[in-house]
Amino acid sequence: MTKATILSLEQTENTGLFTIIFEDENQSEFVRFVNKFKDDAVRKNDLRIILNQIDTMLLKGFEERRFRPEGKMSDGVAALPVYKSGLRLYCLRMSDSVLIVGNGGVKDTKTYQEDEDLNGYVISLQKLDALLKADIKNGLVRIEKTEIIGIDDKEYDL
Amino acid sequence: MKQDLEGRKLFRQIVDETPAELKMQLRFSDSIAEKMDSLLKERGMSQRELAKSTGKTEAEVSRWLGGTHNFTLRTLAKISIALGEDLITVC
Repeated sequence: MTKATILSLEQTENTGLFTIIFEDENQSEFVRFVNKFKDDAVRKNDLRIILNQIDTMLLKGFEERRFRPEGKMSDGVAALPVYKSGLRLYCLRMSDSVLIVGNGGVKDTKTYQEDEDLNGYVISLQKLDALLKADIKNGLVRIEKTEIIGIDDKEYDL
Repeated sequence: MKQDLEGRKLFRQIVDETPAELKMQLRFSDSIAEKMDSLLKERGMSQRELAKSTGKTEAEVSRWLGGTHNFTLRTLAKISIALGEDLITVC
């Protein structure tokens, strides 16, 4: 297990976008995802599609229909996919107004579980989902419209 | 709250540098998905029913609604007929 904290990535009137950073890394999971593909001649365009989709959602909201469910039915883990290439950014959709983006990659196996890296990204978000839900239930954290209140000094074991 | 300033800068940079042609294609895809979603709700029609009416799978309908799908005119015609309303207006 590694400790992780939540960082604010973007805030608009309608939405809040967040990411996570692990204590043994000096870049957020979102930055690590982007850096993998931003200079990749084949995937660069797919990265643009995903980031422009996020940009649209910052104004319109993180509606469920825009995501592909991943993980289990009981968690909020989802992916922003580019179906043709298999590029996926894994996310934790907390509400129509709050989204936490993690890491991602190209899914070229039948299921994400067969890919060690992708499976790791999903498992981290599933753990975060469970820990956040427990904190919300215990009144330590709350979602207020576009913000996650009570996580400023929080570290989560993922 | 701690900010991911590097992430924000990278995000903005890539969105701003996206070619106008791709941005417009994504705007069209998003508008079509939004209209389709709104018509499905208005008609109380499920994704399964739309899949059946268009001869496609539910997974395909889910992709259409994602907002980044590159629709063919043939598919747009099928969906428009199934929903009883044109999804796009040219003139």
